[in-house]
Amino acid sequence: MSDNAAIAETVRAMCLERLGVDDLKDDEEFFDRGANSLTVVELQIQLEKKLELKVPTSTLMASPSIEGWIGVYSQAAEQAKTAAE
Amino acid sequence: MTDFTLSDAEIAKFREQGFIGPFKLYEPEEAKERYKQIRAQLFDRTHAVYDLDPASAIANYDRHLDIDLLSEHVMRSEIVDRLKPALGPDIVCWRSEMFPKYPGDEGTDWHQADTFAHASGEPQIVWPGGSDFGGAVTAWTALTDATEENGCLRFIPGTQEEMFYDEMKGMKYSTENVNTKEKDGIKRGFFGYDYRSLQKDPNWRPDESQAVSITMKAGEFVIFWSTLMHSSLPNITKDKTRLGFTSRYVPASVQVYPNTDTITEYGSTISLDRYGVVLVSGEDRFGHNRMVDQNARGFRFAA
Repeated sequence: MSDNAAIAETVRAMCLERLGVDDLKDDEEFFDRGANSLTVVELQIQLEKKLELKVPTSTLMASPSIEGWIGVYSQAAEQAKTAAE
Repeated sequence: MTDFTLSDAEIAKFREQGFIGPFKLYEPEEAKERYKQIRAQLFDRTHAVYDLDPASAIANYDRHLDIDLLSEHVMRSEIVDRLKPALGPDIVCWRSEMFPKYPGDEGTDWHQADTFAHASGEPQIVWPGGSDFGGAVTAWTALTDATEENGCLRFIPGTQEEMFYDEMKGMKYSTENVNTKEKDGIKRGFFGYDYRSLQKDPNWRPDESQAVSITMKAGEFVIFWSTLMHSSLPNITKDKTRLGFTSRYVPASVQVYPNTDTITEYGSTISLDRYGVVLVSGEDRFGHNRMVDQNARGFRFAA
């Protein structure tokens, strides 16, 4: 599995698990489905532990959907990889 | 420039019932776009004037002092012009707050605020000596739709001139009070306090049969005296958050946070080092309060 595919799988699985919205679609905004901002920040903390990546909360909150977060973390992973090379 | 001053009939209605509106401020599409941008920017505390944990109940006090969209909002002539019949020509914005109500959240207790000492124990606004007036005028803007299902405001019209609560009586804060109490059949509380403990007469009950629901579309606002008996319903939806933004206004002659450098309420303490009132109309001929002419990011407040 590629890095990006692994990130997508992790983000999707944890979002569905932690936000408690079983039928959340990839392009649906968390807040449009009643997510509490503190729950979303908790989700970020858990995800970043798992992915070993860090991005600013305000960047994530500008794209608060599974699809949006996959994009943000994939980009962060690319940048981390480039910086390490 | 359009003048949004209230008509004589609206002024009479405001005086009689203690509130007026809702009025449209933003078209639905603009409201949605602003809501998204504001929501994201609330998480960026790099310029917030209070050093608080984001989980604090008062983390979003006075974000008009660091978020440009909110700085601009509190100055909007659609709001400010409508305050003038009640507050006169010289007006300051002294406080703003976010009021999210998430699915499953309790309603808000019936309450009235005159000096806003109810939580901190110290008067936060003091009108000029000998004045019979008190309170502030609040503009409550719906950033999402506000319905009876997701927790819209409730008012009891005409109650703004008699305080049924003694704000100096003292309330006890406990997170155990949140989302746990039913009062007269409705799950409600006051952000960790029980507002009933401030009642002058412990046996008194607000006459809820006279209450009206203020349902609003995203982008609308209502203005009301803080001394008006008001509350909100619980959010009984599964996935519809209600978010309201309040901006609170008083005449420039009112002293804000007199003789204090810090505020302790809702389980947090804040320092007022970077706080200032914002002149939204007229001039300040009193010099009672520290005034800020720009927000923490340099956005200029131009009345």
